[in-house]
Amino acid sequence: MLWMTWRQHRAHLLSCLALLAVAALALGYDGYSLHTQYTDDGVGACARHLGEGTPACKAALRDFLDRADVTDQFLDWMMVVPGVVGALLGALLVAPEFEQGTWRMAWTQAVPRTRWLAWKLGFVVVVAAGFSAALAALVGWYRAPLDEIRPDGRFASAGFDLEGVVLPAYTVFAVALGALAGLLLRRTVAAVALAVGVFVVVRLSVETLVRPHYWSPVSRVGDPELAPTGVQAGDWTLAHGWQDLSGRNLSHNAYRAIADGATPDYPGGFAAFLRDHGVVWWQTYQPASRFGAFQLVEAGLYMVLSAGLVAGLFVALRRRTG
Amino acid sequence: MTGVPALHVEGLGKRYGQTWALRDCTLTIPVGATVAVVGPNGAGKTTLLEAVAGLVRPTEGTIRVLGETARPGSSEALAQVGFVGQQQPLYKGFTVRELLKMGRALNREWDQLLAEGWLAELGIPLDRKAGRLSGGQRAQVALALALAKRSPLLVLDEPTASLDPLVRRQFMGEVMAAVAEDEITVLMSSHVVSELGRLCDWLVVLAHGRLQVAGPIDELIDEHRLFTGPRAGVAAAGDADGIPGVVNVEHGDRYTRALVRVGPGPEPHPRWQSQPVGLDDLVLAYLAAPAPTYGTAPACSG
Repeated sequence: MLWMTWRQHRAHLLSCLALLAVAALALGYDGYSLHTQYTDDGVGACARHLGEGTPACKAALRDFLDRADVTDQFLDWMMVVPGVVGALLGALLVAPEFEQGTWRMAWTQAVPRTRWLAWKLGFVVVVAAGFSAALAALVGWYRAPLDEIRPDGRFASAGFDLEGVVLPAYTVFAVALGALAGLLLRRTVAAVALAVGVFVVVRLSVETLVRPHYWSPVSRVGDPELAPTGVQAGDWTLAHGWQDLSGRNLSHNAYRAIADGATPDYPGGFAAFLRDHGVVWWQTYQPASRFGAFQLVEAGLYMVLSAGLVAGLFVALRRRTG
Repeated sequence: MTGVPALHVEGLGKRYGQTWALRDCTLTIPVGATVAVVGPNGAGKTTLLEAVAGLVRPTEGTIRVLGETARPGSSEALAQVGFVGQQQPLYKGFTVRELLKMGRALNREWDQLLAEGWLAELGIPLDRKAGRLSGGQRAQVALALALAKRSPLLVLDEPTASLDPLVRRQFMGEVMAAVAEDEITVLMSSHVVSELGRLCDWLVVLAHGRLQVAGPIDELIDEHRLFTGPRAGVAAAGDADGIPGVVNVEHGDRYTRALVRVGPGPEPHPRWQSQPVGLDDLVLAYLAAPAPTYGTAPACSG
């Protein structure tokens, strides 16, 4: 079965390697210039000492952040890569056997179909996980300067979703979706479409609805001077706003009612005005130090989902055509 | 010949949704028989053959190959049956050599010499990709793969449906040559009755998902008679369907013909003219027969 698996899926491995090479070239080329700009313009130092920064320093930081916005938009699109690659690899496991009618040949050799699928699935899962682990390492290197200075750091969507162990987990999940859809629909294209659709829905739901709650967030209250750029780099801000000295959150209107009273010549500036009127800034957030734990929890969640799908796959394999 | 049958099917049934593709099929086929499974499309031929090959899991009933009760779909059970499916699909991107390698990799027993010799004799190049073979060559390669498994039971589902008549004849001749030497039992379906009649010594007729009749062709021919009588006579006698053992009745303008399975002993209808039947008549009569009510189970022991 090893030879058969290799013969049937070697092209998929090579395609993944080719895709990885393209990604390495593109990210390497742009990443080199990104890293150069970051060090040569002293962007990191400017970001760490924002208060005493020179105008030139602030301009360099602004230029870099503008560029980072474009980069992150591009990386956001890469979110679908594990979904599409995984769904394709998964759908190509079984669906083509039905489309070409070769399932009758495949399942009448002396290898039970469950073992047949286990070999093929195992190979493809290793390919998918290896591909996405390499991609994650690549993006991790590429985005390192952004992680240092962006407010949400590695917790930002493009960072969290593309840099860590969650990426292989997403891809394996997509493989399982594609394989199950391929077995049930018996059509490769339809299976890929369904798997990608489900993948995107699950991914976005987990990111927005589940991820913030893996661990109780931390709250802190700070001097108006800190708001909003004084957030410690790397912390994931879930919510922030203003409150009065009694700890009551101020509505936007309540805040404006106070803030509109500020005059341009107020001694000590706007922050001092707010301070003198008993307004403090608050934030709830996930500390940067929790990044690793969050990655493990989310990866684990996807592995559990994948295991469920794979179990369903084998049950369907025994039942559907059995 | 040993007492263990090559294939024993007991109460086999397969339901898809609400529809039974095959039901109440009980069949015992001796070792070395060459069985023609005939019936119109949708009669349950493919379901029966795929169930025997382990591709279809029966809804009810059991299948035993050479008395074995290996779990269906297990390696042991799969090794017992060589199977060539409809249209003989092969992996298009594989060369013939790679297909043979696949056979060797995926089977317990594998006769590489047999497969290579077979293909060399037919002039099929091993380096040719399967997608570039002709229909006849594809069928030959599929057959070579099934034969090299060295299974005691060979199942061919419409092996010649996609071939033109000349190739079809040649192919069937080769199948027979291949199985003649060993005690291989062959089960093959077709809707070309005449083709199988020449080659097979056993007959299984399916219609509407039911087994109509099964048995050695010689015996079936001996047991059946075609009775012809004046139409009026039949009307007077009541209904031809009342005759015991009647399979099918055909009313002409003046004559009524009834194909009847007669028991041993004197013929029960002296007023009728009795003729022996041909295989085609026999099959057609069973195919035209109304869905059986099975007051008595069809005799199909072999």
